[in-house]
Amino acid sequence: MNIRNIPVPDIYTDSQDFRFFLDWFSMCLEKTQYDTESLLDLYDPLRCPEELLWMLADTMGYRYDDRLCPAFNRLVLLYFMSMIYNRGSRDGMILAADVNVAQFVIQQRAEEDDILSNRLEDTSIPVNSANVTSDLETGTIDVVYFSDRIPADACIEYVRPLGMYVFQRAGVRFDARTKIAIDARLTDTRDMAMSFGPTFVGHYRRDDYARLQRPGDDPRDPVWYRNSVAEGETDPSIHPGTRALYSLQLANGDEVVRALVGDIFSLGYNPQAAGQTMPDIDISDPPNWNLRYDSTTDARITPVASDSDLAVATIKPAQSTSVIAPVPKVNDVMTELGDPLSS
Amino acid sequence: MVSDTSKGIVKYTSRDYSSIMEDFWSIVPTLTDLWKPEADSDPGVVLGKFLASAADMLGVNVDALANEVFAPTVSQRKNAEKLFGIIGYKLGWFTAAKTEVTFTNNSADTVTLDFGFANSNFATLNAYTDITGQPRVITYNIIPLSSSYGLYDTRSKREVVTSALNAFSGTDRVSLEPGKSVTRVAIEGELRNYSIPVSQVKQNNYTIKLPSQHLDTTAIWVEAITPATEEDPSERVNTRWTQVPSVADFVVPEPRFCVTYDNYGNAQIQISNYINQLENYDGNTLLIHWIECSGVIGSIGTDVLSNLVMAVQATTNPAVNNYDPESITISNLPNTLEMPHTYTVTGKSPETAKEAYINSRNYINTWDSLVTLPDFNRFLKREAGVDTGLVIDCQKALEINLAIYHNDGLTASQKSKQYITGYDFPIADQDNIDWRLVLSDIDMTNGAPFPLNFKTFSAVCYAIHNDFQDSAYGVASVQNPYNSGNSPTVRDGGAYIRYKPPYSFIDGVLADFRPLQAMTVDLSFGYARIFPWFVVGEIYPKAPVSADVAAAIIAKVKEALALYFAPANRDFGQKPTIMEVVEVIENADSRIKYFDAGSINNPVINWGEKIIRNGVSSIREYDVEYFNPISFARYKDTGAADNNIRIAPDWIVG
Repeated sequence: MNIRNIPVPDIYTDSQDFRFFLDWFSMCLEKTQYDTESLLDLYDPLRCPEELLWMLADTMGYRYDDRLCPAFNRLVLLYFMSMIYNRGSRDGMILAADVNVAQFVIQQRAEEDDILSNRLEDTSIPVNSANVTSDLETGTIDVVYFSDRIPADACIEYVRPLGMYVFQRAGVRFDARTKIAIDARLTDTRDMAMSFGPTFVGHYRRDDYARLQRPGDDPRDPVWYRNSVAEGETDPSIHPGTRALYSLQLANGDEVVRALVGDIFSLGYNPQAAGQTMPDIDISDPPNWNLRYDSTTDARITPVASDSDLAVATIKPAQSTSVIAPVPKVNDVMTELGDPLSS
Repeated sequence: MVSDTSKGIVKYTSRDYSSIMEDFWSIVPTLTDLWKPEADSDPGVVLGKFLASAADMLGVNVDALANEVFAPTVSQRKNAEKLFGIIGYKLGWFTAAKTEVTFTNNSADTVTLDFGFANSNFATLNAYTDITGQPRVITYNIIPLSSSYGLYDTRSKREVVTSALNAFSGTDRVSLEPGKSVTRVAIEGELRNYSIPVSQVKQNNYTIKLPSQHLDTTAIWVEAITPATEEDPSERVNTRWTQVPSVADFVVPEPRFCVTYDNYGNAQIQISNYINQLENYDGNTLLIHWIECSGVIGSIGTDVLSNLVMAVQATTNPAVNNYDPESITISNLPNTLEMPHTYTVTGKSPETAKEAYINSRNYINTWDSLVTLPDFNRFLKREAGVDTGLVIDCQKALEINLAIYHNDGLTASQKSKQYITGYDFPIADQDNIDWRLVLSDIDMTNGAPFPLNFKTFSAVCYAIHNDFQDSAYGVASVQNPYNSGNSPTVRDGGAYIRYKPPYSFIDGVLADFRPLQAMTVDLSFGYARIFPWFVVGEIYPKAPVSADVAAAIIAKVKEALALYFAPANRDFGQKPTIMEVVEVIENADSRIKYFDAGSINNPVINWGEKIIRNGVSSIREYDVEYFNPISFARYKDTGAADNNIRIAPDWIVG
C-alpha cells in the first residue's frame, strides 16, 4: 500500500502544516518501504543491485568476472546453474561457449550506454554459435566460436572436464548439411522506410514459429521490442514473426557476419589472381553421396555410439520394406487426440 | 550503496538519518511558505528528526535483512542453515572426537575379545589429562562391529556413522592369535539415553527435544521398546529406527529419523510420520541413545587411551574377555589433527555462520562428483589435514604459461623462471598436438618458448599439510634449497624450496579420492615452490615504553603476523604485500602508532630464512622471481632472539 494513500480525515488535509507533515512522513518512509518490498530481488541476477552482484555470484559459487560488465555477469548467473548441472558434458561446454559469445553484443551496448552496462535487457544467448568437438586420443577439446574474434572466457572453466586441453578459436564450423546463404539483393525503395533494426542472434521459441502462422495475434515477446537509439520509437508495424525468422538465420551479429564473409564466402569475392590454380578433385575416392535413403550407408558414415543407434538416419529401417519404398523417419500422423508424438 | 563485508555489513538501502534530514531541510521551502524552521527546538523540527530516526532504524533493519541473504554476510546460524541447505551443505553441530583404536595381542595365547554392547554400555577406554589444572578423565566408547576406513569409504561423502552398522550389537567377538591385532572406532563422550512415549511424539508434531545439546549428530540411535505385558514380562526392542541426513529422505516408508534444528538453533530429533502407519504402536516407547560429548576438549594425542573396560563381562561369559590386561596392547591415532581417510575426527563446537560460509565454499556445486577444476580444488581444500591446496591440470598449466608469456611487465629471464616446467607438472611421453597450429600467435621458429606439452588426463595437487610441521603421517618431502637450471649448488642461496606433504598423507588423500569415482584424471601430488620470508622494520609506539613492554608488543606482533600469514589463511600464488604487513602490525596492539616499512634498500619483506650451520647463523636467500601460481609464501620469522622487528630504540625508556 502506498503510504500517501493512508486515509486521514479530510478536515486535516485543509491545513497546510498538516499536509506538509503528511508529505514528509511519506517521503521519509517510501524508500524504506520500497527497499523492504524488493528485498527478495537480491536473489534475482537481473535485479540485484550492481554493488551486491558479486555477493550473489559468490553465493552461487561463481567468481564475479571484473573484466566484463555487470550486465554480462548477470547473464552468466542466469545460465550458471544449467552449466553446473551439465558440467563435464558437451552440452555444458556448448552452453558455456554460447554464453561467452553473448558478451560481444552486451559489451558493445555497455560501451554505448552506461545504463545498459548494468541492466541486462536481452536474456537470450546466441544458440548454436559455438562448435565443440573433443578428441579423447589426443586429450583435446576444440571450441570454435562462430565469430571473428575470441571472447574473454568467463565460463569454460566451470564446465570443462579436468585433464583435457581446451583450445578456443574464432572461426566458422558447422555441419556441412547446413544451408547457409548470404543474399545480396536490390532493395525496393518503398521498403526502405521499413526497418528491422539490428536483429540479434537469439533464442527462438515455439511461439515464434506460431506467430508466423497467425500474424493477427501480436503478443510479442519483450526480447523483440526495439528500444535502441537508432530505431527511436518501437515500430508496431514490424512483423514479429519475420523478425524471429531473421534471428533463425544466425547471420546477424556483426561478429558472425564477419566470420562468415571472411572464411566461407571469400571465394569469388574478389577477382582471383591470374596465377592461382585450384587443386584437382581426387576422383579415385569419389564423394560418398548419400541421399539418406540407404540406412546401411547412412549408419556407416554416421558416427554413432552403437550399431543399433540410428539417431540421425532419416528412414525407419523397421517399417521400410525396401530401399525403393522408404518410410521417412518423421512422426506419424496424429489421428486422434492423445496419440504419441514420436514413435 | 556500499558493501563492507569485512565487518559483515551490507549497505543495501540508501536511507539513513543524514540523508533523510537533508531531504527535510531541502523540501520544507518547496512545500510551504508559511513555516521557516530554524531552531532545533521547533516542534516541527523535533518531529522531523524523530521521524528521520525512526526511518533510519527501519533502514538498519532492512540492511540487516539484506545481510542474511548472501552467503558471505549471513550472520545468524539459523539463516545459514537454510541458505547453505539450498546447496546441500549441513552445518556442523557439536562433534565428538573420534579415533581408531588398535588392540594387539602380545601374549603367546589366543585371546578372545568381545566389544559387544551390554548393561547399557559400550566398552570404554580412558585418557587422563590435567591441561586445565584439574585432573580430568576423557572417556572413549568403542563402537561394536566398526573397523578402520575401507577402500570404498571417503570423507567427502559424509556418511551418518550410525546408519552403517548395528552399534548395539550384543556381541562383537574377535579371536586374536598371538601378534595379531584388531581395530575399532571409538567416540569420545558419555552414552546417555532418554525415553518418550510414542503418543507424546505424535502430539509434539513428530519432534523430540532432548535434555542435552552437547550431542554428536552422527552418533544418535533411536529404537522402539514394546511394553512389558503379562504374557511377555520383558521389554524388548521392536523397531530400530534408521538415521537419514534430512527430512527429504522420509519419502521412503520406513522407520526413519533425522536431526534437525529448531528456530533457536537447538538440535532436535525429527521422526518420520511413517510412525502413523505402524499398527499398535502408540503404547510403545522410543528410546534415544546419544553420545554426550565434550567437543573440542575431547581430542587426544597418540597412544594415550588405556583402562579398557568391556561391557560384556567375563564373569557372565567366561569364554570371552578373559585375558590378562598386560597381554593386550592398546594404541590409538591422535585426533588433535584431522587426517584423511581415517575415522580420526577432531572434536568441534557448533559451526558459526561465518565458519559455515568458508566451509560450504568447499562443497558448493560439486554434488558429490568431481568433474571440473573448481570441483577438484574444493575436494583438496576440504580434505582433512590440508591447510591450503591447489590443483591444476594440463590446460591450467598451459594457461599459466601463456599468461606469463604474454605479460609485458616481465623480462625474458623473469618469464623463464616463472614458467611451469617438467619439474612442476609431468610432460607427456609423446606429442600428439600440433602446437604451431594451436598456438599460432606464438613464434615457435626456435622451438616453443616455454614448456607446453603437459600430460593429459592427469591432475597435480600442491598442498600444505599441518603448517609445514611433521604429523603422525611422517615427514614431508623437502628439497632445500632447490637450484633451478645448471647453476652449481649454492650453499647460501637458491631459487626456492620444493615441498610435498608426507607420502602416507598423500596416500590417505588419494584413498579418499578413489571412491568418488571421478574417472577423468589420475590424481598425483607435485612439489610446490615454497618461498620463506620474514619481516624487517621498526615500530613506533604512541608513547615511550619500557624494555619489557617493548618485548611484549613485539611478541604480539610476531604472533599476529604468524596467524595472518598461516597457510590455512592463505592461498597458493598469493604474495604478501607491504600493505598487509603494515596493517597487521599496526592492528596487533593498541599501543602501536606507526610501523616504518623500510625502503627500497631496506625492504620490509625479505625473501629468505635464518639457518644455523655449525653454530653460526646466517640468512639463506631465495629468488622470488621464481614465484608463480604453484608457489607459496611461507612466513617464517627468524626467532624471538632477533631484532628484525623492533620498537624504535629512541622510544624505549629505562
